[in-house]
Amino acid sequence: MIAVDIISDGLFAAVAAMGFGAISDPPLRAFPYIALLAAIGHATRYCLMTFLGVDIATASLVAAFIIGTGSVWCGRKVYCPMTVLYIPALLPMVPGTYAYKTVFSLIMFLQEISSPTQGSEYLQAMIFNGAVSFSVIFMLAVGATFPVFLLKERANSMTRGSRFI
Amino acid sequence: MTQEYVTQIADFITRYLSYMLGAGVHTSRVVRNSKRIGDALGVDVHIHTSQKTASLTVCEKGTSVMNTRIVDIPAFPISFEWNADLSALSWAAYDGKLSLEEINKRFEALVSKPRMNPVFVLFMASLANASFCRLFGGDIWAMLVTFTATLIGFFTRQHLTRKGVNHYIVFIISAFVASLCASTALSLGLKTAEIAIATSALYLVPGVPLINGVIDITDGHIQIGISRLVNALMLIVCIAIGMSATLMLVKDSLL
Amino acid sequence: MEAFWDSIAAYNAATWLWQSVSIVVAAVLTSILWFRPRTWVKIAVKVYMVVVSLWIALVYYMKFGAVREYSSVLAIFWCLVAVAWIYDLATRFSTFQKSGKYRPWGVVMLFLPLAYPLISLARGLSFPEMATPMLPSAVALYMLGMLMAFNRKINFFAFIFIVHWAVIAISKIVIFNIPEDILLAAACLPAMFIFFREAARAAGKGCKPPVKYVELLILAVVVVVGACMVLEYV
Repeated sequence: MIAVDIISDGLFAAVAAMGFGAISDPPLRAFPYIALLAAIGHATRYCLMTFLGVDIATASLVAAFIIGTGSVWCGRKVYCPMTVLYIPALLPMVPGTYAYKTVFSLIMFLQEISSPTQGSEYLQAMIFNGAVSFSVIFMLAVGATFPVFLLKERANSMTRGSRFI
Repeated sequence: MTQEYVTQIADFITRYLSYMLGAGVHTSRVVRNSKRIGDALGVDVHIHTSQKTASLTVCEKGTSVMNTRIVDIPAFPISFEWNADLSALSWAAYDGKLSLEEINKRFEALVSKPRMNPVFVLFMASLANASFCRLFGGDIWAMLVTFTATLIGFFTRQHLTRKGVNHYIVFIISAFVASLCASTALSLGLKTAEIAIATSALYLVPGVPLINGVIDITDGHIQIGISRLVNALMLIVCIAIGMSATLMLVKDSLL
Repeated sequence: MEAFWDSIAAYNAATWLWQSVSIVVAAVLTSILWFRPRTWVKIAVKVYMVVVSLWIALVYYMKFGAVREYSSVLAIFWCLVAVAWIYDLATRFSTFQKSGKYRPWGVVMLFLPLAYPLISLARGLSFPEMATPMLPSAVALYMLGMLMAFNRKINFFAFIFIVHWAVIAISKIVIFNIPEDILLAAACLPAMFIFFREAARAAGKGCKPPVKYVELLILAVVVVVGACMVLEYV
């Protein structure tokens, strides 16, 4: 049952990454690797959060780091720069529900502005959700960019000798 | 090297640079690749970029024959394919010692490659949002509703973009339409209806400028990095506005 | 469920005259458009679409459906459908021309809304507590039939709204015990495949991936959506 959960999590993440990637017009050869990276990354985050009880920001950082490192390896195979692979792969990890709750709490706060108790509750919820979504997005970007500094030479010559131009 | 030749090189690098920046490539890559092409042709290239314009100087190595210009950055749709191919072109020029004519010819061929079929993108984006809904814990009905809601929202976005409507307005309208359609899931009495509403507008999240902004800042191109982040933030605010319009309409049902 | 059928009964009892007028108008306009297409008929049909969407939104949901939960959300949705037709009217997006393809399908779909009361009667319901051709799903089905019969250049916004409505309607089958809505879902899935395939082909020249794969994707999605509906219903 646990294995099914993890696999379905990775599978849906892969579909999501390919779909969001398609919006940005990637080369067709990159799709399988985008899917692979997204599946691995998201499944890792799922495992960390469910089984080890890691918080969402740290888990995202680890997953993004794995995706970034993986994209160095995959990018060499399909002659794509790292960003082409890891930006779509990161998108399924965007904390959508937190972002939504931030907006929702903001609206409710503005509606209840005259009632001090309820208004402050919504304001608190807004800050809580906003802080989570901001830090997760920041961690995603940082985690995926980090391998570029570690593997500078390799990361910068990814498209060298491409067969596709 | 004559002044004329340096001007021709500058002409080419100007186009190369504006296409790459316009298609949403992060700054340090654009600068690196342009310099690499310059190296291959025997010139030094120095670039300063901002959000809407870039200025560059092309100077023959060892002499003072140079050409300086400021270019407007055209607003192309984001294209990872150009990112990959034009980067590969710079390496091909560097390793193969291609002539300027040859590079120019290949460049033209690369930028006229076919783009994604809009219907394909429409379906992929909708599928993506439906799976996103599943990742947040939505059930099968929430997924179906999210799928069709995204279909409507994304079609609206494509249609309005084709009409040349201002992209902030496009974002507001398509976020509003998508989330409003998703809110019809409330009438089904689902527990996960709220997840459908939350996911329905997420296909609009400007992931590329967001991450490019962070990359630019860590690479030291802080000014353009901040401009990119502000740009992405404006788009996110637009999504929030469109979504809050829906929430205002249906909020009584959500409480 | 009680409230649902009560509201339908009240709606039918109060507006049966208006409903029949509307059906007659639709029949007349459709046959003129079919046999003697003129510009004024095309405009009249679009105006009729706007009016009928607003009718569903305001009369059906706001007035008679107000006792049901979330009826305002659905009213807003039908206003959006009306906006789609108004937009079409303003920009002359669709042309209501016959293209010769899939015409039999269109004719069948145009008659399907009339099958709503028949199915209700066959199930043993009696007036006024029965489905009529002026219920939201039947209206959506009529719009779909019009798009299918005159499919040279269709109003895609209205079409996708109908697809969305079909998804909503199919789940109502179980919740509100209204099996008439199966008709809409059954008509909607092939229409989805046909229209999107046409759109993919029209856009397909000079695009990646090859049109064949896009068609496969569309087919796969339609099959999956259908499978979800069947699975959930069973």
